[in-house]
Amino acid sequence: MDAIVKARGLCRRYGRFWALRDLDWELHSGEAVALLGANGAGKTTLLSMLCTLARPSDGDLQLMGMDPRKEPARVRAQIGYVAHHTLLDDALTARENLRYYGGLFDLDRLEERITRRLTQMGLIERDADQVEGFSRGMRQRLSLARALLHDPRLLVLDEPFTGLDAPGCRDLARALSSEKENGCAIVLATHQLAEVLPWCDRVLVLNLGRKVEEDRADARDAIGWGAHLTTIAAGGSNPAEVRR
Amino acid sequence: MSFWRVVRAVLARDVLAEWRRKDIFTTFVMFGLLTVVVFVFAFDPTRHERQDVVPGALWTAFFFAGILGLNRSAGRDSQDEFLHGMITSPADRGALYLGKLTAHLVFMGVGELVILALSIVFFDLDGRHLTPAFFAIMILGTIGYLAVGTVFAVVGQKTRLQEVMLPVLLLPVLTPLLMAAVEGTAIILTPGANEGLGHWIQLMAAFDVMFMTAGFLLYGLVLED
Repeated sequence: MDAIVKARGLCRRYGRFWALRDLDWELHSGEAVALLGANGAGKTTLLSMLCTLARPSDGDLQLMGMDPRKEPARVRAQIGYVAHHTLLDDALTARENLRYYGGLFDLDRLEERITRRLTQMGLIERDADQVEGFSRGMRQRLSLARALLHDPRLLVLDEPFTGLDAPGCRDLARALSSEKENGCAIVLATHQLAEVLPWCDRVLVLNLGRKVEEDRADARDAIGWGAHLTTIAAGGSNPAEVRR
Repeated sequence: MSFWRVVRAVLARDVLAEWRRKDIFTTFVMFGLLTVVVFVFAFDPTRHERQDVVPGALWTAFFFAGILGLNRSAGRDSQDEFLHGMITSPADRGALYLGKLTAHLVFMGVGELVILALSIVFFDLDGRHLTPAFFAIMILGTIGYLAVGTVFAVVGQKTRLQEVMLPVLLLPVLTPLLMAAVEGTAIILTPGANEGLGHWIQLMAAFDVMFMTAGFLLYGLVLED
């Protein structure tokens, strides 16, 4: 399998504070990995580097076999990013938002792609409505349609389930699972373990900026992983000391 | 091809969003008009020479109203982390800059025409004053202002002070442009005067080229850091 993400000794610091330290990790196409850890564990920092919003302070990061510092545009063209915020413009309609991103990614057959993704996310009936009238669940589905518009090889998601009701979570999980089956590599940070464990392959546990564990997702159930994470977080020493 | 497609996408999105919200235009025009009215009351146009009052009134209105407009535009891009969508796209950073600059030119250009229309009434301007040189100065001044402002608006949004930061950064850099715009406009409004106008126009053109080039090259760094 192709290595979509290859990190060696990956570090990120903000001033004297190490947000992520010495991470060795790989992700392959068609794989889904859930990033777990308490708040401040370094999950968002890792995701920011994977979607090129932040640069590594040290170490080596290869995305799709390329160095994002040397070939940023080619790397970005193959990444889809879903953040806690939607990255959408409320004043535009669903279709206009996707048209805008299609322009930024210079996509061919754009209208066809937009129709396909809106249909997949169950939003085709609302494609001419402004996003400001959308519910949180609809916005999140549109955000996923935006991230998938260019058929990325790597999908990076930061807390995609936040604010969604149970059916919304189920729909989103189903859509992500289907992308994984199509060969997309997925990495996501979430606290909603029950939604992701059934279809994720692996779990990467971070604590105080360091990788502390990597295991199969089905090694524990959601309650078991929750209890395990609590134990890990409680076992950590003073964060300031660990990160110095 | 892809470069101009990005420029078009950014311009289309900004213009469409503004057409629906109208917040940048309204803020710009309201503040600009109020500034002109304040000048009318502070300096009675019937007792002062036109060339002493109008250039200061117009350019103060344009520059300060422009700060509000730029802040509004940058604030809109920060909403829902919309800017991150631009950063994580493979789009050429220079094209993003050019798209934003063009959109700002459209907003500010339309707003300036409205403010100018009111100034014509208040300051009794006519065809003798509104010459091609007058409009050349308006265009060059606006381009220079936005060439710098488009970059600094993003910088301002990334600092803790946000809206306050933009004028602090912008106005010192714009001093030569403001001086040239005011002096050039004063020469045009002075009956029979023409001396030095060419130099002010040249200065403004040079300012525009220099800061548009800098903005084009640096916009990516500003966006990403």
